[in-house]
Amino acid sequence: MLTHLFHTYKTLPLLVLVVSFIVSCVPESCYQETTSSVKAGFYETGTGLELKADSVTLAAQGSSSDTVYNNVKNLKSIKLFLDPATPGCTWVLTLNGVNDTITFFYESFPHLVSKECGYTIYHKLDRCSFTKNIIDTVIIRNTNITVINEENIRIFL
Amino acid sequence: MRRTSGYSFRLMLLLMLQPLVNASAQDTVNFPLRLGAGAALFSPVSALAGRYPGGFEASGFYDMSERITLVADGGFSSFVQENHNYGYENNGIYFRAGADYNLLNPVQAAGRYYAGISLKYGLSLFSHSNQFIEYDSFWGTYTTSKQSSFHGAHFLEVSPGVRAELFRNFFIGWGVNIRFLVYGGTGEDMRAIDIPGFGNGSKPLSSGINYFISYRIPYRHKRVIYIKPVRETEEGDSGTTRPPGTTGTIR
Repeated sequence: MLTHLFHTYKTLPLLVLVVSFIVSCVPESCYQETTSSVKAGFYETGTGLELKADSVTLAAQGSSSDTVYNNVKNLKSIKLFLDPATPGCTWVLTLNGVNDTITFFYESFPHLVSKECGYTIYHKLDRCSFTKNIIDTVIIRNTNITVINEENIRIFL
Repeated sequence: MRRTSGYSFRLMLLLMLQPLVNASAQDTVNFPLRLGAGAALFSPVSALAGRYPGGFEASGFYDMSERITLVADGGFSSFVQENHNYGYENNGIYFRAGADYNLLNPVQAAGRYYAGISLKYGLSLFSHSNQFIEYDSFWGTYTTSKQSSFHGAHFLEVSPGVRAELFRNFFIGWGVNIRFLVYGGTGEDMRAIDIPGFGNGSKPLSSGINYFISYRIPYRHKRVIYIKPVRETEEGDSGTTRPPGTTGTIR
């Protein structure tokens, strides 16, 4: 078998040409996600079942940017962005017309996505605090805040 | 360049027409075992396009037998990249060691032609830094940088290629490199954008094309008996073929 393999070298020039063609056509564009975020899901206290919030408004406290969600209906989950320039940031979450705040404390560090896309900022979530107007509790499930679409916190209402 | 193309074409033709060659069942070849040194040449087009880092690579060769050549490469590279959201710099040296296996039989190769596969282990020592990293987020643009840090990486290389003697003892060839990163040395977050001798360190697989020249002098001649494949033609035989390329050696 090995001898046969070694003597199939008539195909070598073709192999070299094909691989050369592939190598020369590697695209250099960025197609990857480069923004990291805290992925949060809504759950019902008691049953632990997933919940759809009737209306969601989300705005960052101290940010000049607009709201991320503005009275969006029937949301099961939301994304919150952390400020890499500070060790903590606060979000104002309005659920069904009731305001609550969630404050995150974390460490930030750069992470290479790819040569084409460059860098993103990842965070290591330390803890979070929140008000309890409509929120019952918040549980941290995954402390690694990355570009991967995995749930980080569960918000129980 | 035209002469190089001519030699490459001859080598390709030699490979493709090999089954049509009908010679005696056994050949004795006085095969020159060579040792030498060479240098890698990067494609002028790629260099102009700025796709490859600057640097220099030299190699040493030692024919162990008519099939196997020991190879050691060493080089340095300096890589600078500015993208829309980062500035990156990398300087380092690298070593690769392994062997070339010539798939041509000794009669075809005759110490002048090579078409085969090279397997090498590579070690890279480098320092890298980021002049700036810019990150645009909901909170605005965040800018940071990273101080220079020193790392070691190692990798494996598989490289099919061809080589021909252009004129006496002077060889030219090219090959395709496929490299597998075994250990990047930098951790998951700040992977090297370029690893000297390997290529793009943000991915576990790197590929490229290499052109090289070398000067190889014979240090010894080895008599090699090459037994050609013979098709049994006697009546009643089912036409089986003996394994090709059986070699014996007279030292």
